[in-house]
Amino acid sequence: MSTWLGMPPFPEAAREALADTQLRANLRAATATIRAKRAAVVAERADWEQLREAGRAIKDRALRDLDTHLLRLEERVIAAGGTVHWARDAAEANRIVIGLVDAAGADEVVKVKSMATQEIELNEALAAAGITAVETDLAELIVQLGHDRPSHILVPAIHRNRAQIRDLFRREMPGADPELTDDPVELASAARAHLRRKFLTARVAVSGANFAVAETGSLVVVESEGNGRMCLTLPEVLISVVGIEKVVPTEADLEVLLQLLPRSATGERMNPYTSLWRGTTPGDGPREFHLVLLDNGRTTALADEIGRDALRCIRCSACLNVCPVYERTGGHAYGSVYPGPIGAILTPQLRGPDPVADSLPYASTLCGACFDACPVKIDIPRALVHLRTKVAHGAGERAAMGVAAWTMAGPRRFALGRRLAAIGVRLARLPGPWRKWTEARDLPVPSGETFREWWANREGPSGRP
Amino acid sequence: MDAREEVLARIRAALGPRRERVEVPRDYHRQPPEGTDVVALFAERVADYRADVRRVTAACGVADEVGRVVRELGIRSLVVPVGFPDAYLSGVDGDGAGGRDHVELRRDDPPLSTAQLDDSDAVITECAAAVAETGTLVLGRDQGRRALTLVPDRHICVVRAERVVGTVPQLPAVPPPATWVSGPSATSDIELHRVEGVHGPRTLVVLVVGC
Repeated sequence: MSTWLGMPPFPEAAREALADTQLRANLRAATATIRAKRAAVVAERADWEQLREAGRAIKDRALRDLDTHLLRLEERVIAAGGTVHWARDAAEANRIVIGLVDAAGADEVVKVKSMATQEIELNEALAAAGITAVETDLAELIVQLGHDRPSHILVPAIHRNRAQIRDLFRREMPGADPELTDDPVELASAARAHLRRKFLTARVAVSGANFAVAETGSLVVVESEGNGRMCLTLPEVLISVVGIEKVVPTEADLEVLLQLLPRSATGERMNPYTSLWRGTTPGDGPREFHLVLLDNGRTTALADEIGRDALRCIRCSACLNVCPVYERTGGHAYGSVYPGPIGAILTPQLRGPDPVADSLPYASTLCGACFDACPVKIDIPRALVHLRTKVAHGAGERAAMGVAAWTMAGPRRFALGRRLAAIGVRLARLPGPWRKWTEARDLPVPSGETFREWWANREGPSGRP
Repeated sequence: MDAREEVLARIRAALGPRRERVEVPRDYHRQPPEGTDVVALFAERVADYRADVRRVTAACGVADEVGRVVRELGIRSLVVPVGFPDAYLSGVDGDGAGGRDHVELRRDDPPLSTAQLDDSDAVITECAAAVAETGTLVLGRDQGRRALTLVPDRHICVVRAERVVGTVPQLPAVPPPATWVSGPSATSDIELHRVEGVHGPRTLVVLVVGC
C-alpha cells in the first residue's frame, strides 16, 4: 500500500477525482446501494432515536473519564493473561508491534482490517523491518494487491468495480485462475483459496478492535467474512492495536453499540460475525495476547471541547455514504486514512496542521446529512465550522476581510463597492494573495441591478416609489 | 515519564479537574413488539441471511433431522465438540464400519489439529443463546473452542426454542470467548453486493427445536 504522505490538499485532489468518470460511476452505484439498505433497516427500529441518544451518551461517558476506564481495562486484560502496552504516537506503536513480532520469531503476520493500524502505517513499518503483513479482508486484499490506497472506511475498494477486481486478481494473485470471471461469488472464492494457507500457518496476527470493555476487559471485533475470526483464533500470538477512545465502560453498552453499528455500516440487522475475547483462554485461541493502547493525537482532540465529539466515532462510515461531496470525489481526495465528513474533522485533529489537514474542514457544503446519519450523533457540521476557525488564515485573506469590513461600514462606500464588485467578479479566480479564496469556491455572479437600485426604481402600489 | 504515564497525564490535562457526569438514557426497547412470536421471527430472520433453516417441533425429532441434513449435504466427516448431546447424533450412522452412509464423527477430545478441522466436512454445535430480531446465534465456551465452528466449511447449529430471546438487550451474559454468528460468512466488498461464503463456513444450517 502506498502511504498518504505528500498527497495534495483536498481542492487539488478533488479536481483530479472528479475527472475520473469510472470512479464517479462506481461511487454513485455503491453509495446509493448502501444508503437504501441502511434506510430500510433503520426504519425497522422504532427506537432508533433512543438508541442513537444512548450511543452518544455511552461514548461521552467513556470519554469524560477516559483515564479511569483505561486503567480498569488494563487491569482486567492483565488479570485475564494479556499484556498491555501504551503508545504515545504512531512510531512508538509500530516499534512495539515490530518488537513483539520479532520476539515471536515470525517474518509474516496476518492482519484483520483495522483503521488504527492504517493510521499508524504499520504495514510500511513492518515491511521496513523485513516483516510481511498480509491483509486478509477481501477489500484490503484488493487494495494491497493493487498497490493502491483505501478509499472508504468500511469498503476500502469501493472505487473498484468487479471487472477491475477480476483483472487485478488475474494479474497479481499467485495461482489465480486465468479464466476467473467477474462474478463476485467467484472472486470471493479465489480470495478464500488464496488466504486459507496463510491462516492455517500464520503464527502472529495483528488486529484492531471496535470496542474494549473496561468493566470486563473484553475486546470486540465486528466483521463479515470470517477472516477476523481466523486471525483472532488460529495464530499463537495476537496483537491488537486499539485507539484509546475505543474503550466503553460496561458490558451493557455493547447492547446499544452492536445494534447501531451494523445497521449504520453495512445496512444489516447484524453483521455475520462478532468476536468477543478477554486476554487468553487455555486451549482456545492464541497463547499470547498483547493490547497496544494508542494515543497518536487523540488526547489533543480530547482537549478541544467541540473537536472531542469526533472521538465518539465508531467507524461505521454512514456519513461517507450520505455525503454529496464524498459521493463525487471519493475517498482518496481527502488525503487521509479517514475520508469523508468524519475524516474532515478527525484528520486535522489527529495529525495537526499541514496543507492537507488545513484544507479538509472546507471539504463540505455543511448540508448536515452526516449529522442525521451518525449513530452516535456527532454534530459534524458544527465541528467543521469550529475547525475552520482554527485553520491559519493567510495575510491576503485577513486584508481582504479588513477591506470588506471598512467598505460595508459606510453606505456610500458600500454602494460604490457593490458596483465595483459587479465588475470584479467577472474574474473566475481572484489574483495574487486572494487566489486561495477562490481555489475551492465559485464567486457568485451578481445581478446587473443591485437591491438598492431596484428599491430606488421600483413602482409602489400607487404607481409611486 | 513512560508512555503510560504520559498518555494518562495528557488525558487528565485534556479533561481538566471538573468533569461533567454523563447519564446514559436506556429507554430503547428491551422487549420485542407485543405479540411477536420470537421463535418464528428468529427462523425468518436467519433465513433472510440465506441460512438453511429447519423447524423441528419436538426434541425427539432432532436426531432424525440431523441425520437427514448430514445425508443431504453428503457429509462424511463431522466435528463434534465436547459436551454436545449424544442423543442428537443417533440418526447419524457413526458406528457402521465404512458402510455407504457411514459418517466419521470427529470428537474434539483430544483436540483436533487445525489440519484435521480443515479436512472435515462439517461441524455440529448447539448455541448458548439466540436473538430473534437480528437472527443471531451466540456461541460460548460450552459450544466448544472457536476454531471448531470456523474452519470446516459447513456449520449445523441446533437451537432450542427456549434459548431464543427477542432482542439484543435481552441476551443473557455469555462469558468470553464468545462469537455472535448471523448467517453464513459473507462479504459486501465487491460493489456492496452481499456474497455468502468467504473464510468462515459457507453453509449454515439452523435446526430450531420446539416452538
